[in-house]
Amino acid sequence: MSRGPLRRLLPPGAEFKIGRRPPRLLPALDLLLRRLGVIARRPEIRDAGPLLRTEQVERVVDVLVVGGGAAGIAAAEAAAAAGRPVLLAERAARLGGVADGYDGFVDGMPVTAWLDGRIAGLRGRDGVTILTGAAVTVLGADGAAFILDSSRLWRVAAKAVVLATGAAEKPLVFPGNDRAGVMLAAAARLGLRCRGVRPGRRVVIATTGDEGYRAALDLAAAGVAVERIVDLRLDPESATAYVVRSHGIRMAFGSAPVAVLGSGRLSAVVVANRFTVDGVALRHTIPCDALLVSGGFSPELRLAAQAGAALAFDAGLGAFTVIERPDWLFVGGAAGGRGNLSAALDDGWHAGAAAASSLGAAPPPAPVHTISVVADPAAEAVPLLPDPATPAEEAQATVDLANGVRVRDVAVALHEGFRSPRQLARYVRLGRGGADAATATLAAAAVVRLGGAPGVPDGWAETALVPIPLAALARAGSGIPPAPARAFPRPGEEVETAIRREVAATRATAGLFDLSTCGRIAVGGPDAQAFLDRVLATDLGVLTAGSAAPAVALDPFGFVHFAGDLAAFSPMRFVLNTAPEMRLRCQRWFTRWAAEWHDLDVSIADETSLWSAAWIGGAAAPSLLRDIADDAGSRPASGLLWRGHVGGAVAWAVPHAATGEPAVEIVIATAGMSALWRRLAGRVADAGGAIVGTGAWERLHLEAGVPDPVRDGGGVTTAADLGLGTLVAADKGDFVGRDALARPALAAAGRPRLVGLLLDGSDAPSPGTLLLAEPAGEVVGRVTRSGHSPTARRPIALGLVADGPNRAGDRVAFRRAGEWRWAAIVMPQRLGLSGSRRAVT
Amino acid sequence: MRAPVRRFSWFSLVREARRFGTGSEPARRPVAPADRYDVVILGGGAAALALAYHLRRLYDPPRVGLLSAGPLEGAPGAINAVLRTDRREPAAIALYAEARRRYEGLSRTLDFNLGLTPRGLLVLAHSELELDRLAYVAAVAAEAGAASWMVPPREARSLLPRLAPDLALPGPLAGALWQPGAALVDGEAVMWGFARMAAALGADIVEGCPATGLRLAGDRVAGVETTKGRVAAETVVVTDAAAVPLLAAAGVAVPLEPRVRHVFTMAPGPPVLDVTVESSLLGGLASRSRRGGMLLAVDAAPGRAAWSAASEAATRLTTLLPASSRLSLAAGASATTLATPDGAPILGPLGPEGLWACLGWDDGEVAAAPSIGTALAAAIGQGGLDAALQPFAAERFVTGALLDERPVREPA
Repeated sequence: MSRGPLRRLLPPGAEFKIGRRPPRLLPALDLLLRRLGVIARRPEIRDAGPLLRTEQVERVVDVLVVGGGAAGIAAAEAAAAAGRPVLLAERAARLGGVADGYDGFVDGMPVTAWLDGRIAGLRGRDGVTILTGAAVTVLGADGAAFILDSSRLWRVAAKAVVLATGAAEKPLVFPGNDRAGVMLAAAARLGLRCRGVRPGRRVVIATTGDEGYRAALDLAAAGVAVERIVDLRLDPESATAYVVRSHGIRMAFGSAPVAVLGSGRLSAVVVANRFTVDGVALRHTIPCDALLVSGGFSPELRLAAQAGAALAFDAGLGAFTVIERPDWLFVGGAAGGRGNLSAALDDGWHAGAAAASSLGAAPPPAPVHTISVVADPAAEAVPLLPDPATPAEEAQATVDLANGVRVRDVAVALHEGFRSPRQLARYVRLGRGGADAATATLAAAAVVRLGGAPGVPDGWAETALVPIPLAALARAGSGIPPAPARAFPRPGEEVETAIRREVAATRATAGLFDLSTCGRIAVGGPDAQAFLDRVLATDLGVLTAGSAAPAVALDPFGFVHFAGDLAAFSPMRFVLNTAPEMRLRCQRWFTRWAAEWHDLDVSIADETSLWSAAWIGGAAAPSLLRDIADDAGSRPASGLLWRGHVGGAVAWAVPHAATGEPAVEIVIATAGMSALWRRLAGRVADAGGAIVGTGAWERLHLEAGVPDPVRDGGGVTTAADLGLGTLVAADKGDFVGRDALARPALAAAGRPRLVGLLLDGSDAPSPGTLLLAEPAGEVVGRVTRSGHSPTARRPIALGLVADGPNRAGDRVAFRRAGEWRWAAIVMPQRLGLSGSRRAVT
Repeated sequence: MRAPVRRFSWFSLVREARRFGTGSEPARRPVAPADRYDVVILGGGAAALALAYHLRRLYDPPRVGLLSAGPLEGAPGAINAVLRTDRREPAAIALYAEARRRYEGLSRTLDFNLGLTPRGLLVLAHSELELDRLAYVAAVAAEAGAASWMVPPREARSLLPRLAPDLALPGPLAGALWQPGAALVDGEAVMWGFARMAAALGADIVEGCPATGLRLAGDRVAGVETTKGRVAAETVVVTDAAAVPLLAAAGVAVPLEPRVRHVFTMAPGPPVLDVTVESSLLGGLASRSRRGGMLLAVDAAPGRAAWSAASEAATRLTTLLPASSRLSLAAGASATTLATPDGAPILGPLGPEGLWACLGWDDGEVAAAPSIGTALAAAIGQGGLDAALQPFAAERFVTGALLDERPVREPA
């Protein structure tokens, strides 16, 4: 909507003012229009598409220098001279920046030749890496940079960063400034010098600083007719201006372009005096075919904003400046407002030296150069033209060329109440997409002029300078930890059938399950026991080394936060084993309280990846485990069956009988897991057992009625609700959540509590199904988990039912597929294992 | 009720464009706060602005002042706010379902295009646990009248054809929760639309006016101190989590904890998804924006910068949706919200008489704004909460009757 003839018909904020009533087309008409291509067709997506991945390079350096102009080269030299590894990244294909645009001499050599010598010297140094054609697109607040070169993404972690990103030339804002034939003076000048491209044959130059005069001299030397230099300043004091005057080029001071003429190509520029009210009388029309404009330079500070530096708009300079920066970030050269060669070299060196000295390297003395290059004074900051603009003129003057935003759009948006940078970016797209330095500066100047408060453009801190292809950003591999399979179906077998077969095989002979994803959080240190006493609700008084016991932790509101088995290895080391879904929760909880109670000397470590585990259960399990350990003389301890080695790896075995079968969990150092697994899998297969997936694992627990704090209640169930009341020792002394246990809602009678449900029919109600006292009657609870029990040969479920345990033997109604059905309430323990097939009704 | 704002029409828009916007009307004027209001609303979020609008719409005499600490701006990601009803508490589902119904005609009522885009929401289940939990949510939502049901993996794939075919390797696709009625809405447009109409109806919308203190007279609220002077009011509604320290100074404790999300914006590119998709493998939610880009919002641990998590997010996204490897990441930002420990907002009276709260949203503020605005305006008018809002009252943190709205995923 930003361009095209329609735009003249649409107001600012059109996105919000139009389409409030979605058009309703007849379906047939809609289809016809889509077929004809009048309405865009929805893309038809059939397949997943290819996965692209490109190379990624990771580097750690001491100093990252962004920008390979004169200042960047000096900064890299300074840091390298201090003995620090340096990475210099330049966006363009070669180093040197804008040095091509300047005549003059340094140490008796032409500027470019001298700079080439410096570059060659820098390339030859040890510890200096130079990337060209490499855009630094993101500089994170922690000093991490993303650099995109032609084929790769470089992820660079730097201890100090020097920004020598230079400055961008600002265009002028006047009616018709977005026309073809209006171009920036510096761009035209460098194009002429480096590629021999002339901007036109008859040229008018409008400028607020010396850059316009430099352009005039270069163009005159190339034989281009410079019709007029229109200087916006009333009384320019500069050496270059006097040189130009001596060339006989006509000049107008205190004037400005107010319109451009010509259809298609530019044919003339209308110039008027800036400082008189009756400007019309003083208008001149100057025929020309190109208009070069220069509004001074604006430091390129987008990376500084990303890195967390505070920027402010300086209306005097007409540019954003850094007012506060992180202590690892240094700004040098034109990016810091020092654009002249001698200043840039000096400032760049100092920035590089400061970066090195912030890392503890002695800064070397700055080299002294004899520089004879004419220095340009700062250009005048001129916000908008013509100075007294009419709405019609404002509607033709573009302030944000990239997004096609006119001055009038900004004025209307400000009038309508949209005043902050983000509001303006959304409402009229001003500075959208983290616009460049020049655009943002113009936009801020326009906002100042129109009476608003300028701010750092929306998105500067967040937007990548160049979008990063995800193919380059993504790392190798899936990034997703492998999850155990739900089941191991035979060819042609449904998942549910496989789950039932695996459960049946486990109950009949043996089942083998990979428990490696279970969380294992270690608590160590002299105060480990005291810490666990305060963070867990369970009384640990009897837990001696070498034993394990179930434990729960409560949240501050008295609900179960997580549960697990606590194994004691010594009074100084405990490991809490918990279900995979509670691993992070447990680790964060322990870490949080360890930090909060600094009187306790404890350390928390997530040892999940250090250990793997296999669970083997079923009637045949004990016999299958015979002689599994290497060392016959393993030492049994209370609670532990044995401790020793399997295949040379440290391992121990604990009884794990929650599923109602004789079962053992063998925990082993991860390196030894594959050997152990092969050995167990072979024995289980020989005995006619099955390797079980998570589906069968859950079903075995459902049959045994094992409560689960995550599945049964989602964080608002108490230990008593889950039937784990005995694990909470309210009288043992203070622990997290103890005070909350006395709150009325927790102590109330009639709380939903976990019960088992025996169901008739062939399928189980989904979790979440309401349970009612009778069809269409009072709601008494909900199903939390359900499934078909191969052992009981019927669907079973667990549910939270008001005052549930006291209703054992009652029946409740639920709706399934539009019909009312009945369920019998039983105690959850051994729900599916009782063997008897009672009728529910 | 004051005469409403002049409504936009094609004719008026073209006329305005022809005369360069010289006749445009301010959506809201920059105002200084008055000395006295009947109701002061602290904070400028979607719910606060909806409340200001409904208070003016329902009750003619009250003078309403809304004091926003900063400009009216949405958090990162607000541009693609998801209207969804997959919650665990029936009371919350009712609230969000009602809001979803109201959104249908809201662009017309507010005379402002809110960018309502109906796109279904697909929540993938990658494990037995997620399957159970989503099935629970689907059953609860279906009972409360919200259209949502479980779909088998095959159907989930047809809704999301770009899903990686070999997903069985990193994590199986066990099923999905499908919400055909879910939609995306531009959260910022919602704020501005409510602000414009509220201002037109006579509410003062004051931007850049942070409150610095709460004034009490005995056990009653007397007003607020702001950086722009003292404002007297009989009723103060706190909707800004940043104002919680003021509550603490006035002796009201509100349990809030920070939740961080990284929001990554992809540059416009080839279409990867049509429906909005949530997955624990993704660690969050991916949605398509109106302009053809993609927004990825992932849970994050507090204190981590967005860009430092970009690589991980890209890896997961491209694994789940391989076609997305042709997209480019344009922007990354972090959004921090202060949410209650149980994940449901605190609504209703708070401590001293005349003090109200509408606080502690985890991620549903925009999605609930239209219904919350009406319900809370009615409650303030009647001086108490009705049964539908009662479960959200702040007393639940004292009595222990917490709501079951805690987020399932732990941020990685």
